[in-house]
Amino acid sequence: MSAVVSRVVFFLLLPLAFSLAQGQEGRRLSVYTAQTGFSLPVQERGGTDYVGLLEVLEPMGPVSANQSGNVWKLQFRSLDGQFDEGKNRAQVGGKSIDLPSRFLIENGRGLVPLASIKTLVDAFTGARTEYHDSARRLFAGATPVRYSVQLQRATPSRLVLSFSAPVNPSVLTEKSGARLVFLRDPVIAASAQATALGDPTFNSVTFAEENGAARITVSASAPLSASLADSNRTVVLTPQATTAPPAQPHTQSAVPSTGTPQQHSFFVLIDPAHGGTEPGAALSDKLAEKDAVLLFARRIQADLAARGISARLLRDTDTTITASQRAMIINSSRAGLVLAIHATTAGTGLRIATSPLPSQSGSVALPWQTAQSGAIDDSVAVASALATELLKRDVPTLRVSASVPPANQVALPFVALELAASPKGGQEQFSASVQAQAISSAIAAAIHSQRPRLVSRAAASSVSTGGHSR
Amino acid sequence: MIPRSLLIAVSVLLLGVFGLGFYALHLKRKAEKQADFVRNQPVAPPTNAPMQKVKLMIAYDEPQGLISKREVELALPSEPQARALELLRALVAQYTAPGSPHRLAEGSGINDVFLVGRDIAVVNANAALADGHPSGILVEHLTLSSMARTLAANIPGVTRMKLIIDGAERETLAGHADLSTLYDVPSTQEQAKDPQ
Repeated sequence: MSAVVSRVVFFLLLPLAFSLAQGQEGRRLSVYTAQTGFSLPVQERGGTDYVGLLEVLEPMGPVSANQSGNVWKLQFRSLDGQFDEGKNRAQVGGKSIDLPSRFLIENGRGLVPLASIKTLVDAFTGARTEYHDSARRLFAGATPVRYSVQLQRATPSRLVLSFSAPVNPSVLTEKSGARLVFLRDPVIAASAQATALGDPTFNSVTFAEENGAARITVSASAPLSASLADSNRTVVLTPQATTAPPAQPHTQSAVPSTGTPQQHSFFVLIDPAHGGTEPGAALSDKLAEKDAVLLFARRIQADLAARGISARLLRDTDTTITASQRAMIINSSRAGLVLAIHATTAGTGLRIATSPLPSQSGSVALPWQTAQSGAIDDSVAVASALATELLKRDVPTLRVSASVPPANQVALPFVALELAASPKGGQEQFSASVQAQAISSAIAAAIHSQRPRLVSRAAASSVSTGGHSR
Repeated sequence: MIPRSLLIAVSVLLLGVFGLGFYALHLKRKAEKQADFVRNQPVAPPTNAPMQKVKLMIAYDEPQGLISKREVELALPSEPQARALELLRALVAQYTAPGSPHRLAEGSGINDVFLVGRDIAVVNANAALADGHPSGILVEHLTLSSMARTLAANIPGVTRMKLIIDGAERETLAGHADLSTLYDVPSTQEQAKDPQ
C-alpha cells in the first residue's frame, strides 16, 4: 500500500519538479565593465540565488583565490578578501561585510549570494557599480549605452534606432514587429520606457530588461528586418518585403541585410571547447578543461576588448554543444576569426593548431567536411602571427597541423589553441597564472596585427555572398 | 539457556567464516585483475618469422612533441597486412612500457590492420587505447602521427590511415583528434619536428 502511495506522490511531484527545473534553467547575471560585457549562470541553493565571485571579478583584473578547509581567500589586485563557508560575514580589505545568506564553497568555487554582488564588487574594485536587481544586470564601470528612436516616414517607413556606442543585438523577427536582445551591451532605457509612434507600420517601441539582458520590442503591423550601420551604432528596421515568405515567429537570426550591402562588423568568436557533459581533460582533481578554457576565453575577450576588438564567446555557460552544432553556429556567425580554446597539463606554453586541409581559396562551394579549405590560408596566417608574437615574449610555442573538431567543417579562419599548464589547485590558480595572462595578452596583440587582413577577407566574403549570413 | 562459552565459540567461528570469505573474495578479484592485465597485453611477434630491422617513429611528449626514428629488430611476417599489424603492436608496446616518452594506458593494443586499395591502412585499436588515452591536441596527434608515419616508413605505398576503435568509428580519440577523417601521412609528417 505504501509503495502505491509513494508512486502516486512521485508522479504527482514529477511535473512540479520538472517545471521548477525548467524555470531555473538559463538564469543569468550580466556584468558590464569598461572593457567587456559577459554573462554568468545564477545558481539556486536552498531558495537563494548564488553566483561565483571569482568568475565575476576575473574579467575585471588580476584575481586569484585559494581554499584552506572552510576558509576561502580571494585576492583581487592588491586587495584581500576572506570568506568562511556557512558564514554570513566576510572580510574585504580589512572591512567586515554582511552577506544576506551563507557563503558556500562548491568544488573549490566560492559562491556568494547574488543580493550581495554589488556590495562585494564595490568593495573589491573600489568603484561604484549600479545593479539592476530585477533584471540581474551589474554595471561595473561600463558607460551605459543610450539610444534614440527616429521614425523616417517614407514608402515604406523606416525606424532608426541610434545608439551611443556600437552594439551587437540578437534580432528576433515576429509576426508583428521584431525584438532586439542585448546580452553583452550595457543598453539602458531611453527617456521613456515606451514610445508610441503613431505610424501605420510602426506602432511603438518598448524597452525592458530581464534575465541579464536588455530588450527593445518594436511593435509593427508586419514582420521587420533589421540591419546594422554606422559601425554598429545604428539599427535600421524596415518592413519585410511583401513578396518574401512570412517570417516564422520567434526564430532567432543574425542581423540580416535588407538589400543594400551591409557594412561588415569585425569580431572574434571565441569557442571555449567542451562543456556540459563533456568535461575534456582533467587538469587537476579540482579543475576540468571545460571550466579552465571558459575562464581563459573570458580573459582573451577582455584583452581583445582592451585593444578595441569585439569578441564573443560561443558558450558562456557550462553547456553541451556537439562538434556539428559548433560548426553550424560558427559558420552562421559571420565572425572575422574563430579561436577554439583547449587546455592540457602536458608540457608548457601554447600549441597552435590549424587544419591540415590543402588550400582551395578560389572555390565557390566546398563540401562540408572540407569547408576549412577555403579559409586555411588566413587561418595559417593568423597562426603564424600568433607564434611570432608568443615567441617574442619567450612563451614556448608549437605549431601543429591537426584536425581538431570542428576545424575542417568551419568556413571561416579558424585556429585552435591549446594552453599547456599544470595548475596546482583549482580554476582560480589556473586563471590567475602569470603565463595564462602573458599568453592572453600576446594572442590579443597578434590578432590586432592581423585585423586588416581579416577585415578585408570578411568584407570580400560578405560581398560574394550578397551580404547574407552563410 | 545457552551456555556463555558456546555463544563465544559460535561467534568466533562466525567471525572466522566471514573473515575467510572476504579474504577469498579479495583473492578472486586480484586474480581476475591480473588475468585481465595479461589478456590485454600486446601479443608478441611470431618467433618463427625472420628478424628484420624496421623503423618505429616514436613520439616524445617532451620537449614540445617530437617524433624520432628508432630502428629495432622485429620478427615480422612477409604478408603486408600482418606485417603492419605487428609493427603497430610493437609501437604501442613501446608506449605502454614503463618510462615511455609518450605514455599510453595499460592494455592499449591494436586488434587489426586492414590495407584497403593501394594506399589506405585502416587501423582497428582496442577500447583501452582510446578510453585511457591522455587528452590534448598535441598528445593525441602524436599518437596518430606516430602510427601513420611508422606504417608509411615500413609498408610501401601506405600514405593514408584511418583509426577506428573496437571496429567502430569514433568522433575523436580523446576529445581533440578528429577520427572522422583519413590521416594523410605527408600532412602528419609536418606535425612534429624530427630531430634526425
